[in-house]
Amino acid sequence: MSQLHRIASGGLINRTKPLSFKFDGKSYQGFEGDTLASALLANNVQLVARSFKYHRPRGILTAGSEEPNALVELRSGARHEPNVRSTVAELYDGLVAQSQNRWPSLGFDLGAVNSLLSPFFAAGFYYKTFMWPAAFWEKVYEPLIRRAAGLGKPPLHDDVDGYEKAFAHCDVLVIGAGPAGLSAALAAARSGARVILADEGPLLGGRLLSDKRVIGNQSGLDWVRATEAELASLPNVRLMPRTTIFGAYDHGVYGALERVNDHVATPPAYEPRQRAYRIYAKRAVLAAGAIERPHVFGNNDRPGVMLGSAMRTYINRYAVLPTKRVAIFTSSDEAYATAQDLIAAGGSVQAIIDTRADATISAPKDIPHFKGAQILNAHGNKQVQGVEIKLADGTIRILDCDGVAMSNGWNPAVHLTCHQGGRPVWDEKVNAFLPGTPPPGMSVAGAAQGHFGLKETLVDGSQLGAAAADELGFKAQAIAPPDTDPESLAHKPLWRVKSSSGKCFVDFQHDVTDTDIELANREGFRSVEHMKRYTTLGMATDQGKTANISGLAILGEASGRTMAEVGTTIFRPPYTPVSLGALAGHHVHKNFRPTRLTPSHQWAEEQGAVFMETGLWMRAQFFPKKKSEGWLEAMSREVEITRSKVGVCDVSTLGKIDFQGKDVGTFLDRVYTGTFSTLAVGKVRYGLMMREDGFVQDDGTTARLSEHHWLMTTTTAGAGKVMAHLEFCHQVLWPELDIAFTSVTEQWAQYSIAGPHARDVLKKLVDVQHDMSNDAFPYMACGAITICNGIPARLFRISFSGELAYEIGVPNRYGDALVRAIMKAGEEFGITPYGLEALSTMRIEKGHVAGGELNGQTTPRDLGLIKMVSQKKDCIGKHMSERPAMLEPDRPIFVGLKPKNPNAKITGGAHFLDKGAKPSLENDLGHMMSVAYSPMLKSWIGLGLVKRGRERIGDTIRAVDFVRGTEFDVEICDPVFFDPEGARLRA
Amino acid sequence: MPNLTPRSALAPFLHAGHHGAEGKSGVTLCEVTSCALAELTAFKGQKNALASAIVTAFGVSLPSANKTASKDRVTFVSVGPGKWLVTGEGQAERDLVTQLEKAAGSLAAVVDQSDARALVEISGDKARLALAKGVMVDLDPVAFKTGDAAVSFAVQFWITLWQTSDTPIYRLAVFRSMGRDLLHWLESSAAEFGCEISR
Repeated sequence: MSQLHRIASGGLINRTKPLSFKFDGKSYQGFEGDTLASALLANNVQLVARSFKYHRPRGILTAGSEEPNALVELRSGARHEPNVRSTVAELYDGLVAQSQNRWPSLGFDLGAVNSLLSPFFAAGFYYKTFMWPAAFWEKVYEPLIRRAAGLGKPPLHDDVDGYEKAFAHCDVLVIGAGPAGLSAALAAARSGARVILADEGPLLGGRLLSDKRVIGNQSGLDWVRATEAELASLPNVRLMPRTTIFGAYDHGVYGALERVNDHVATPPAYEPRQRAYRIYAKRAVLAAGAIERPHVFGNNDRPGVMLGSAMRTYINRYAVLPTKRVAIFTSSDEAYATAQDLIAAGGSVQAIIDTRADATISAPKDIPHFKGAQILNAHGNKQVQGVEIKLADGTIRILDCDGVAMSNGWNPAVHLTCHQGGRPVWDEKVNAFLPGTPPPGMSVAGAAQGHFGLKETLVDGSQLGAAAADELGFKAQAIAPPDTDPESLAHKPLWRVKSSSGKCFVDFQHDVTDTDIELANREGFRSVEHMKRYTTLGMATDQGKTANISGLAILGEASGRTMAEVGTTIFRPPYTPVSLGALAGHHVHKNFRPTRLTPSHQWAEEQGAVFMETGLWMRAQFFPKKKSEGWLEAMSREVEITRSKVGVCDVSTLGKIDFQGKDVGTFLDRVYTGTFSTLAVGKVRYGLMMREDGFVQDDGTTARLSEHHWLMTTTTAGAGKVMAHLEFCHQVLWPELDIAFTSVTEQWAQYSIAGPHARDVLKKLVDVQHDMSNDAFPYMACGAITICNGIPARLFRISFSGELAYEIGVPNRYGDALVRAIMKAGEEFGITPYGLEALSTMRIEKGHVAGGELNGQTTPRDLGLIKMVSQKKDCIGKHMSERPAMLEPDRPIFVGLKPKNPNAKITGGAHFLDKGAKPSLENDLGHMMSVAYSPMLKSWIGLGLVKRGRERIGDTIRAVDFVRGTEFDVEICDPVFFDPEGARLRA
Repeated sequence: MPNLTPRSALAPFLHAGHHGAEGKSGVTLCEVTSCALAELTAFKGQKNALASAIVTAFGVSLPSANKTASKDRVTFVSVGPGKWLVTGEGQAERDLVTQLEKAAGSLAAVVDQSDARALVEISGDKARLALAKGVMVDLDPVAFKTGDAAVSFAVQFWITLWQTSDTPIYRLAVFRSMGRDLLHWLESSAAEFGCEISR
């Protein structure tokens, strides 16, 4: 298909690389270097979107990231992406795009009926209309509105592309690579400072890519190329095209999004689609340029109405004549350059309608020139077909045209200067809001500072770039900028055209009109902040880049205030939308957080173990004999074999902390409830640790390996928290204590070998010189030994299961080999591996507290462990745990619970009530904390807190579970269900 | 009595060979397995005495914050106030610990950490770019040089990172059980540059 609007020569496109693409199913051609918008215009596609609320036909307004109208859905399937601004979407071969927010088609959109109802859709409409009945809001109104109004559809599939996060560092970050940015980068870089130059577009150059300018004795474009070449040759410069600096954060941190592969159909293998950067910059020069302002007149949203600067961009950069017969509507001298470019490109300028009666600039020869005139309305529907002009003398004329180029002055892109609260300040001289207080370390150059002339921007950039480097101690010098061709910057903005009959749009993307703002003012929403929220002006995905200023002016006019008095809302990050995928980067799916594997993991996998995640760890839950064996069956078998023969369990995940120093005993006495300083070398003691508030935070054992060397264990879940607590205690509370401690959790692979044959198994592994007899190595003994021909190991005779049990630790590298060796050694005794289910069941059978009980809401007294709190010394939490309310006899206390019917599957979380008592807070006796099926008792059993439970052993109460809807009679009993004398431990 | 075969932290997860983009090897990655690790922590008020003891025994001054110091096969990496990670190239774990204990006497705590960390070595002209996808520390030669060290948080792990050569070569230690995820992240990050993984 021929590109009817393509100019025969020129432009920064590669005519030897034609590209095919589809828009709404129809095939077109463009060239490498095109954006989707420029390629659509080359093919005279003017209608590309429907508006948000009224479904009005919309075309392409701009040529940059500020585009409010021409949003499309790009790609398909899993790569589908809504709300892509076609003005910055680089064309690639095979690109597929769809228009959005229309049904059944872009040309014939039923939603356009909303336009007829527009009186009802004015500002505040939703709030007023859908007030009642309140319940209707969520169920009826909101879904209706959401369907009728909106942008693109969200993708329905998981994104198949990869995203990355990365960090970058520099001395000077230059934001924007137009003339100001390039000069700033060069001046800073020549001094040796590390410079990052980022620009949202694929090419450096900014407006110099779009306007025919002269710098020194070369064209603007050649100057860009020479400057870029020098920057690229410097090792201290990093050029980052296709990178938007989207946020300015504290301490010189900038957020950046690099669109690594948005310009190709699919990213090359191993490359991400996008990369989010956190850039640490000591200084920043904001050279983000400015955004041209539209005029507010009747039907100013019709396709074919475009910013004058955009028109020049399409002509000069993309060699596309957007429309052929153009009416130029201007309040600024630079529109006369638009006229010249249009004529040079073979277009026809139907007239220049200048709102300034006193404009001194002259129009090109033979072009009708109306000073002091205005466009009242655009005619046409899916494209402009003419404009209605009001001349200076009040006469009305109809002018034939198929496009309008608007120039109403520029708004500096101050956005990033606001990110830390800086409020832009109105400047009467340049008729624009200028940066207020930029974030520390940031200076603003060129058009972003309201210095619109090319020469000024070059001077600015060079001076600020050099100053930034200079402040950091580099010997930087501003580069004297060459002369530039003359230009005229005179302008006097016209904020709105009055007495238009058509709708006059202020915010194109959110369909906010001049009358909406007047309405807001009439209804009392006169603060800019209130007006913004009432009308939604500036709240769309473009943040009102082309809209806000006219809105503020109209509000000022309506309320009789000047622009400075009205003020402006400020901008938040991000400057342009950032996909969530880029912010997540690598951290998706299983990479969301680390997965820690135990030393025996690979072996357990080979055994067919079923795993469960406990914190970050993957631990074996149970070891099914065959696939069909469920957890209950497998757990019962593991418990029975362990209690009758022997079992092995990986306990490496428990936190281990190595303590050394002469004050360790004192330190432990203060953090534990019990006394540890008296512990004999070669012994282990159980310890309970409270928080300052007197509630238990963790438990574990501590072994005294030698006079000044101890080893503490913590729960798996509590390891990190306890370490932090101990660091606090040492560094802040008692820095005078001479201790050194460090985590050795990962140094040691540790296995629990439990059951009547535990010693028999161990004897086959422990080197012969170590006496393993009950006398030589009794219950609660510990020591350093060697196993398997000299491997250093630590042995602890401690038991969580209540059986004769040992925990044996070896350096982690031997962990995999050791579990295999234990299984082999245990073969003759019928050893079984056991998982978390069996571990938990056995500890409940023994009435040991664990996670369910150590929930941060229980005191030692609640857990029946009051005797573990030494009365001979103080410790963290002691006084707070003895507050009267904590010792109140009615406070529920730890007991065992047995259902009257052994098969009744009692549940954790059930609340206890006396028989006949109504379920109420006053009658609540406590709750169930842990339950298990006990293979030894052939019954479900539980541990819980019951009011005056110890005095009520033998009583029957009700366990009521309102969540699961069950209720069982349970008998209160001693929490130690199995081997209460502990004979098995000491065997 | 069975013999136990040791296994390095990354052995089950490390797949030697070329990974990622074909025809280039911007990053080279390997697990350091022949290196003993120990933590040395000065007891209260003993930092200076310990420094002299280490000079006497190892011929090297204990490095200040964020630095390393090496002599022969032993490298001291500063990991906190009065705290060093000591690496012994090609040394048996116990030998390093014994040497340190002998030198430090009652001046410092010595803890064997040889098995507590996964230790990798990363080199290649794209190593910095690959590391920058998770490491927040500025690794540009103007900011981080051979002999510099950092304790930081990268991706999802606490890391100890130090540079051993200008080419550049970096060493990176994480908790052993985090090694698998570290490797996965490094492989993904280096893939676009081509990554050579060796044991």
